[in-house]
Amino acid sequence: MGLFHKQLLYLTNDQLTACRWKNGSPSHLQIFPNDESGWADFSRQLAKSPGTPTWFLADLIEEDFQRTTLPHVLGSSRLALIQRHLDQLYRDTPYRHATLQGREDQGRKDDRMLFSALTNAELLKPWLSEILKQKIPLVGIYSPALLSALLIKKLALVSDNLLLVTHQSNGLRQSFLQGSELKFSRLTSLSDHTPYTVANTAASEATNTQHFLANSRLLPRGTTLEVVILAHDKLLPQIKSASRDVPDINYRFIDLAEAAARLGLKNPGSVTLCDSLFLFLLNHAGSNQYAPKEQTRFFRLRQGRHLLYLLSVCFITGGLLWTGANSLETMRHYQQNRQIDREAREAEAQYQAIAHRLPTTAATPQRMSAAVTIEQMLSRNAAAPAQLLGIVSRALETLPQISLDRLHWQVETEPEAEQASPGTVGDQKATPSATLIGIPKKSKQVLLLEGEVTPFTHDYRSALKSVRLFAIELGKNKQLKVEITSVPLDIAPTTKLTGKAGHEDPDSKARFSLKLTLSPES
Amino acid sequence: MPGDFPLIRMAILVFGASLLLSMTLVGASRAIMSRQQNALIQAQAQHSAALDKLRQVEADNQAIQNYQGKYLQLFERGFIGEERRLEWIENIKAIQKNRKLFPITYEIAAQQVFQVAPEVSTGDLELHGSEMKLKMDLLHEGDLLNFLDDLTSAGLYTVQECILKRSDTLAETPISPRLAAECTLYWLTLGELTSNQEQTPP
Repeated sequence: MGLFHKQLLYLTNDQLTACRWKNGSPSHLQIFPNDESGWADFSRQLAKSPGTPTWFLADLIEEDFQRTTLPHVLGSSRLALIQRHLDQLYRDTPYRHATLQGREDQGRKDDRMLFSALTNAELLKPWLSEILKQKIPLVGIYSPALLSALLIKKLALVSDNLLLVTHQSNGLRQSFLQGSELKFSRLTSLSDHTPYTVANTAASEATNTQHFLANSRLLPRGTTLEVVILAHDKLLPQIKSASRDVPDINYRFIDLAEAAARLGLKNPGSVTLCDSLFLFLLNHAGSNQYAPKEQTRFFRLRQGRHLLYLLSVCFITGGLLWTGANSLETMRHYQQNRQIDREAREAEAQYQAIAHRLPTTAATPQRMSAAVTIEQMLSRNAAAPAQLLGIVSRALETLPQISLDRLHWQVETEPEAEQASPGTVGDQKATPSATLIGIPKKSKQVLLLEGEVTPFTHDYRSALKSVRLFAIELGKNKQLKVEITSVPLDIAPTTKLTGKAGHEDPDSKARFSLKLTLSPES
Repeated sequence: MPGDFPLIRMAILVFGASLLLSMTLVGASRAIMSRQQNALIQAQAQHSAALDKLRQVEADNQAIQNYQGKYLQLFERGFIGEERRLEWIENIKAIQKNRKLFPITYEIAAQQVFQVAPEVSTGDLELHGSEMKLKMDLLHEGDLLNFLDDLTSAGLYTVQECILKRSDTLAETPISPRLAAECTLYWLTLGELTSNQEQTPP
């Protein structure tokens, strides 16, 4: 058996039909009578297909339905409540099922429940014991009655009060549904499957069921019952003629081939009974309906086994992919490594070549570089009085009446540069800053001049003019800032001025002082 | 149920084996990759070190070509190494004699270490300076400028301050001093680090 094959079993009161589902229709049909020979043949058939997942459809007369309401509880309390009801209702059979069908509109809003069971467990026992003995993975036990809700959905037959009559190998099944909820179902066996028998039984059972539904208050009086009869095309004319015009019953007849086509079965024309429709619906039935948990354990084990195999494949694939990615990364690193190694060897070779060519030197290159750089900095930046003295000398040539007595030239030091570290150690002064000597940049130079205007004939106006002319002459140099710090006669309004007109002091002099500041070129 | 275990035993074994195999494959490949990564990091470090060495030797080579000649000149001039105070004094005397200057008074203070800004590299050397104060009478200011000019042959120095003033006394003769000068300058040398006890010849 292939991994994806399915085995479908259809149990009636008389026989069990086994088939495989292939290409959308049942195939390899085998029928086993419900006796010892049938069970033995079934056992041998099962042995040929070990491990094939098996769906079990029980279409039995002995299926009971009970509708009731339960208090609305959740979780484990609900499970316990349902279990207790199932035990009360169906003590003698393990094949039982509970369906929640909504809640009451009034009162406590209890849960509306449908309890059902296959009441004759003995009918299933020989078949299921063979299945369990051979450890066949049983997916679940289903019933056409419970599947009929799915059938009317797929055929779009959902109605408020619908009686679905289906012709099956085991007889005529009548399932009453309100909306898509099954309320009641029963199976009427047929003495034969001739059109006459089927038609008459269908018509009479529809009427009987209407009375039953009305009496059991499932169908409110005066409400029309929609009766849908699903049967083979050949039977329909007789069924139609047998179905008398009864008040409150609205008949609708659907050809089985048409229904099969709408469901999607392959070769719908070959379908003669509704058995195939229900077998098809097993593909969409969802979870198990009637099988006790222990009877489906081989299927769960099979699922677990498949999951483990799938995980194994995933792990191996993932491992191989990861390993492949690591290998590619390793290869990339290896190639990079070789490339870098080659470049490093080349750099080393170049280093050796240059190092061998290096001459013997008096000092390290760093020392030589530092010494030369500092000397160049000193030569460039070191201040000297010659420049300022030269400027003054040229200015004096144009103003012979100016005579200088004192020149005080100095490098102007920034306060923090004067002494980089205060204090003295022994005879040695504190560490001076190199900015004093022009490292790293030039310093300002200041020249304080003191002199007089000669000859002085007590003509202060002329003396003042000479001093100003001298300052202007000096100020022609853009780098030079000239400040007149004192003049022969201070005529500023903020100071006191004294003198004696008509009797001038013969020893009086027109003295002045200037401050020149030479800023370094920017 | 206990009897059901054989049904999934093979699947569990296959699962375990595949898990083990994939973990082994991944673990081994990761170990190899990690080793290769470490080797790559090591190779990159070696490569970087080789490039640094190469750059350094190229820089040294360039520095030797650029600076060796000038360095030797500076060494000859006395800028590098110990102070040559005797040469300074002899030079001052020689200049005074050659320029026929009035007597010169000098005073050299103890050597100091200049603190150089961090952006200026001094290599493994220190910048030393010795303050010298000079006093001299002058016939005219040109004598001072000539003296300072001639003094460069004795070594490297920078002038910090000079005061020139007219003599208080009237000149008796044409060759009597008319001006008096007082100057402060620093004699500069580059020497070994004072903290470095080892004396290495330049």
